Amino acid sequence: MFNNAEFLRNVRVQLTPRRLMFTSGLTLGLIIISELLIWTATAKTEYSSLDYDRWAEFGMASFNLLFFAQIILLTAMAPSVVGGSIIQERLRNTLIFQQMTLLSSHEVLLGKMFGSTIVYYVLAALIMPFAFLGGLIARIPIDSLVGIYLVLLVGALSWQAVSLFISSSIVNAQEAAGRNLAGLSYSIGGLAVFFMMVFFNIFWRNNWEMQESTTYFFSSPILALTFAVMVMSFIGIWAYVGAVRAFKDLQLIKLSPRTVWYFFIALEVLLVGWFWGGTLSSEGYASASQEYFKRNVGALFVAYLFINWIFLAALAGISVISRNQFREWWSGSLDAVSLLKRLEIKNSIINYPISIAIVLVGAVALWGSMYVGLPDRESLLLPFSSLIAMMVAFAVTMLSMASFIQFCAMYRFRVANRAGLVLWVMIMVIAAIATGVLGPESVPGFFNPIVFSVLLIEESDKALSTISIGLLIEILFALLSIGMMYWKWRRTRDEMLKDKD
Amino acid sequence: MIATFGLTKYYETISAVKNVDLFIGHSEICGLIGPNGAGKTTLLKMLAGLLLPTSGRIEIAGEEVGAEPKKLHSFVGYLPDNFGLYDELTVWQFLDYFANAQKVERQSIPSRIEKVLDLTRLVSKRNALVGTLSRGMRQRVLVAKTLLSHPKVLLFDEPASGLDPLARRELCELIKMLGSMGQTIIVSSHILSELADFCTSVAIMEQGRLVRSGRINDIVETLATGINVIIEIMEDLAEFDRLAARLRELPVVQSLALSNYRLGFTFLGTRSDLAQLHRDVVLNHPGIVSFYEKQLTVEDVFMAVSSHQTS
Repeated sequence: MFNNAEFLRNVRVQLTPRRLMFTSGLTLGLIIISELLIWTATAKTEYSSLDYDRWAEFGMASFNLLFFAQIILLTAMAPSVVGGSIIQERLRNTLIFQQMTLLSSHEVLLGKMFGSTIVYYVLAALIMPFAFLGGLIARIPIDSLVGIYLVLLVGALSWQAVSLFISSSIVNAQEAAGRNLAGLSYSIGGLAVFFMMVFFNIFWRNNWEMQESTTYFFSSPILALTFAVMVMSFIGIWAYVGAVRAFKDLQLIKLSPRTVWYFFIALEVLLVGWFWGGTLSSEGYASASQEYFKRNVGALFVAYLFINWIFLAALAGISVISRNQFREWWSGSLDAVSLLKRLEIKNSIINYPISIAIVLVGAVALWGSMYVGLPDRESLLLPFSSLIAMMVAFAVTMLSMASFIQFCAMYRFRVANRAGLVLWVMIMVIAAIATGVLGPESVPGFFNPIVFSVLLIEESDKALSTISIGLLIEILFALLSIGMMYWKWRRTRDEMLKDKD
Repeated sequence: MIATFGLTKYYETISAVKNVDLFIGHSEICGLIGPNGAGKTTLLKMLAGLLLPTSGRIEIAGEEVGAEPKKLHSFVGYLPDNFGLYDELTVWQFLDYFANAQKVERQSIPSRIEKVLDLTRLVSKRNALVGTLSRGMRQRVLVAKTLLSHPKVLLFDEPASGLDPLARRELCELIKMLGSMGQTIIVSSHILSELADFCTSVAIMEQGRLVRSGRINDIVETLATGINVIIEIMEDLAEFDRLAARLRELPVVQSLALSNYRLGFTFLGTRSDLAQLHRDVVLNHPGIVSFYEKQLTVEDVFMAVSSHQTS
């Protein structure tokens, strides 16, 4: 890291000796003042037993305050600054240096991630001994303290990665990332601190017992906290991978399509492991009522599909083919550059069905897991025919969504692909409202593969009629979207080739 | 040193650069000329590896770039028209960052920085904050940064825009010096007088197409149909008319243009015929102030070649 030019540049800018002296002095001053105030405040409390309780209260209040300060520094400030460091490059016209640098994308991003946030890490490190001491005085077990700091570090790094991913994608996607985007990184910081506060509130502030609670991963017991850290790390690692890809794209470096497949495989492993076997152990299953189990399995299946739907929607939004790319496709040349562009277009077209296929394989694995090692489930669970219908409906809707977003992207809006995604979400929201009014067994209800899946899980006795009506509606909508896309594609092609010379 | 074959860039339906075949030799300073919107910046960006062409090939220093424009970044230096710098760093820190980022050998970084500071006459500003420098000096800092990695080709996009006359002259001197050091340079500009001083070749672009390119002397030779001559005379209208009438009679004089006691024409005869005409005019027409041959400038070449249209 200390040989990383980007890191050193950021450190030179962020951590000037004068700034270091001033912020460190100020922080130490504030710590001393706050400790004195807390100590004075604890004097007002009447203790029924020993003086030691005053120390415990002082320690806890001190820990809470200082830990809160560290959360703010590492999960509000650091992600904001790291996202801003990329947007700033665009705003002050220095992005070209990042595009032409011989540093690898990893070097640039790691340099920004740790260099631009160095002040916040230094301040958090300065506060840490005081907070740790407060925790020990408050009789918080040392392993809990170490755990909480580990979670804070993982959370901070993950959110920084998320911020890097969003800002590098936006800077890359929008030619003139405008000044209105400068606030974006602060929004990510705000979101990060909110998320981390909720997280710590669940696991520490009021629910110490939550640290002991367990969940199952591939039917093996695992601490809920460990699992939460695993999820956070998953988000962080993949956000970082996404940021690297966005940065490589900015530097016109060829991207491998396999990363998207690996992402979906990793996501399915995480989800299937989490939802494995209905999340109930044999003992749990024995004690649960059949009705509860069926509901639980249905909810998990729906959650699985819904989470994947979100990621597939994001993939459809990211990998739409722009008008410019179509222009390249139609250039008619057969040189290396044109062939590369055709390959990129092909990759983005192929990536999508492959990702859907990975999701469906995960769904089959999840379905199969409900039978593994647990007796008497066959009668409760989804028949294979219904599973196939659900999978077909899901795949068809995903294709329909991608076609609709692609249809919008071929219009001349600068943000056409994002507009397509937003429009699609709006259509689904309207369909959900209509389903609420008309009931699940209606056209808008069947239009939504999640509602369709719920119907199939809950009403297996009417499965055949539900399957046929549902699939018919899904396929009709998909054909409509694909038809609209094809029509617009033909028009765009005619328009562009007419103006060729 | 630089060769492009059928280089084309489309922005949707608009062709910014169309089928450009450009060849620039080693250590040439090529002026890329054209009106605004002619496609100069797009062409330079493609040569700098910042923009992927729609189709076509780029070969620089014998290396075919193909679909990997990143390759170009190790041997092409690009100086954009509109640029920002890291204002919070000192000039030395700025150059140190780029030397490391361009993977210059660590031990040679200090000496390399000293060398480029000396070349760009920034030695006295080594500890100044970049943000405090004038536009002209910032431009030189950018040149210094680009020279750190010994690029084989330098691309200047409208380098003189926004510079005061003194800074402009200094920049021209710097480009001339770099050219004399054997650097291959492309300088784009729509201000032709800027380029006239130091360009050894020109490439003229219009509406995305390369209208003409080559060494200035070669283009002048192909354009020149004779010797361009200017005669200036004292303010005597009768004498001016008499001289104009006399020149019109001569079959070797063509394209006679009269303005403000100044006569310009193309002389189709030999040099000894021109010497004879000179003697004749001076002896028979009192009040001749000057009689000289006018060399074609970059501007003349552009005006002769281009159709004066913008995209």
